[in-house]
Amino acid sequence: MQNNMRYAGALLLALLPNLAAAEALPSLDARFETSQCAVPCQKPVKREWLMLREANQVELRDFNAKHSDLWQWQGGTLDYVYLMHDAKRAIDYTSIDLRLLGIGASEDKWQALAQLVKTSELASLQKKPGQPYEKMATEIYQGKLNGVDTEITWIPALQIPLQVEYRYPKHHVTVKLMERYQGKPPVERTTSQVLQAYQHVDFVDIGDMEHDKQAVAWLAEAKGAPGVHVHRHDHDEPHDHQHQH
Amino acid sequence: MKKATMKVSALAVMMALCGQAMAEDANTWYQDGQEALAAAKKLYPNNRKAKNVILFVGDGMGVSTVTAARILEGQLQGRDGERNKLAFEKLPYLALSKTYSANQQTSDSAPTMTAMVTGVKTNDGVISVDQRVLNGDKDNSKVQAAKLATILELAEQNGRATGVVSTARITHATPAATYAHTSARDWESDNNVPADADVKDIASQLIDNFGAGAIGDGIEVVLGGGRSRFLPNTVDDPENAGRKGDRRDGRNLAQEYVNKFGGKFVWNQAQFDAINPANTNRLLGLFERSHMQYEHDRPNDTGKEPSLADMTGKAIDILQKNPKGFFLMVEAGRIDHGHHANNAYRALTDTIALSDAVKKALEKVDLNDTLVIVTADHSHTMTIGGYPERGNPILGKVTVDGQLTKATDGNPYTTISYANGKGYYPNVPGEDVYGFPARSGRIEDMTNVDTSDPDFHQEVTVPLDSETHAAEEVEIFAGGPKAHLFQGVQEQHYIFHVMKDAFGF
Repeated sequence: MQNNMRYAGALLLALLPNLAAAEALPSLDARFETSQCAVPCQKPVKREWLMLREANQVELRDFNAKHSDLWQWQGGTLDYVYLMHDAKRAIDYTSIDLRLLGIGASEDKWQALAQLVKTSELASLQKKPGQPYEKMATEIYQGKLNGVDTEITWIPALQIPLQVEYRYPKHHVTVKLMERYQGKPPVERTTSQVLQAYQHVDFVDIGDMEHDKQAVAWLAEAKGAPGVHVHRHDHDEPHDHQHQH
Repeated sequence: MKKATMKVSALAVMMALCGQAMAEDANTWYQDGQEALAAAKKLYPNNRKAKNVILFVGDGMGVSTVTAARILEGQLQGRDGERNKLAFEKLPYLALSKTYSANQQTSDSAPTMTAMVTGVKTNDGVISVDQRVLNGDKDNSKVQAAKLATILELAEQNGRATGVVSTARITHATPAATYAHTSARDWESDNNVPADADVKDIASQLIDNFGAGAIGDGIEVVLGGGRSRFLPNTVDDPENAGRKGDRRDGRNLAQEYVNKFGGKFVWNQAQFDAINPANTNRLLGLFERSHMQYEHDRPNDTGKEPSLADMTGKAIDILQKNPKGFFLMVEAGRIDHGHHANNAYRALTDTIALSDAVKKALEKVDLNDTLVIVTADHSHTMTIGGYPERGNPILGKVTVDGQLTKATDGNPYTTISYANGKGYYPNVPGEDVYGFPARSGRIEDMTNVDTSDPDFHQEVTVPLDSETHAAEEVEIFAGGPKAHLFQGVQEQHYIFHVMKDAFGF
């Protein structure tokens, strides 16, 4: 009964793409693979990662990684927590902190994180029917996004792509749903109880911690936390486009 | 929409003023000097004892921050920014404060505020204990042996009402130094104290250090952020659905404040507005789980929260009911955070909010019996450079005769920049650049970048994870009894000694 209602809701969302984001996303625990490869492709670089999604929260975690990104969308506000699971530490970012780091904290950003593509992007592409996935209908969207040839195989019932392929002139990026977990996911979901057990630090307080040897020691392990470590690299380096994991 | 319109309007005013010939001539300046001289000659030392002392602290409000905020406030109001005066710049006396700590050339808020409220310099990271204690010492007996009496505690012992107001967490270093004694500024709730340490957390000290068997009768007014440090992890946060308190010891310190001291507890603007000072003797207001919002972002807060000026005004209304007088500390705690993020816009608008709070206080007290001090704990590395013409938007690019001034790399540059920090992201502002790290150095070409955007962060020279504090002196503005004692270049701990002398303790 509950599933039927969920699917009915998802169908409604698919019919009303502009309202989709305002409705609750179906829960989803899944493993994805992101691969990048130069054209012509000889040695793709692949990375597997997990998405643990609830209506207003999505946790993204590289497979076997000891940290994850937790995004929470509530009341039109996007908050972010960088989680260090072994150390049981968390760095909390407000939407203002994110904006000051140049990270969008809008609904678009939430959609890009939780659905991998924005509703507005789907609406801008040509749609045709696709092959069913686990007895669920799929849709194929084709066209250009930001000038890049794009093909998305979308699962309306799950509000997630089965596959997204961006064909840049010199390289291709593909994000593929590898496995959907119907039971227990391979890692523990970060619930509010888990969050409660972690030591939390506000990102904005880190500026006052650089003289604190203990803080410096554990912050050194927060290698993926936005704004915590400054590294130089070529800003022309390709990245995952919508998948900003 | 409204916010965007206001921003555009303010920018339009700033642009209209840019390059506009001011209606000034030699006589203007001469008369201005004569009037200042006449005002100075009318000054006389007020040697009376102070009934009340109010200490305002702009966290990280260095001299250049005051200058830039002064100009920004004037420009936002469509007036001459350079000749504008913030409310506290109208106080008659001024000194400079040397902010180094016992073990730091450039210090943090813990030892600097300790110096101001205890009269003794100490080490980095420790709060209201002397320099025998090192940051993170876990032995409480060592902390207890090194405790320093604070001006707030002396006021309590002498029957004065007391208050602590901050836009930061009320357990953050600056407000905490007035009422707590600890070896680690980060031990704000029991959840933050290591298992092998027996030092009491900061939040619990706000309750336990006062009242029966301890000092005075409890702090009358406590307003700020940091609610999670006061609530147990079994209690739902009233504002943020799904979140709970941080405390693991089961104590609900907000409820304890109500029970032990007979106070009222509020957590949002509506509840705060409903508080009638006439029938309220004690008030605890904790408006955010963590820090309160920057002034720029305050209108968008979920639960809504009062401004620093609102909190200051209501605090004074309550504290003034004590016929013996009061001590109040008011901190603009987020100037520091704006600077750490290299975001001059929020640092400056929070400085203007501090000015508004001082203005509110000056409307409510009499400088004949109230010593008002406005200072900072330390500076930041923000600087104002180039040769922008008079009236140039302070958050804008350097222009002369309406033309962008170019650096030797051929690109324009902003008047405000930082010596260090996170730097900028390509294609700032507003571009979603997650995954692209910040860089120091020049923005390739900022000709078409709106550098007055609230989210713009200025260029930096040295790349660091976070912009740092700076070591030069900060200002001490003062008016009222014994304010004339603020003159020359003084050590930061001198502030305590003047306050204590003014009170006559």
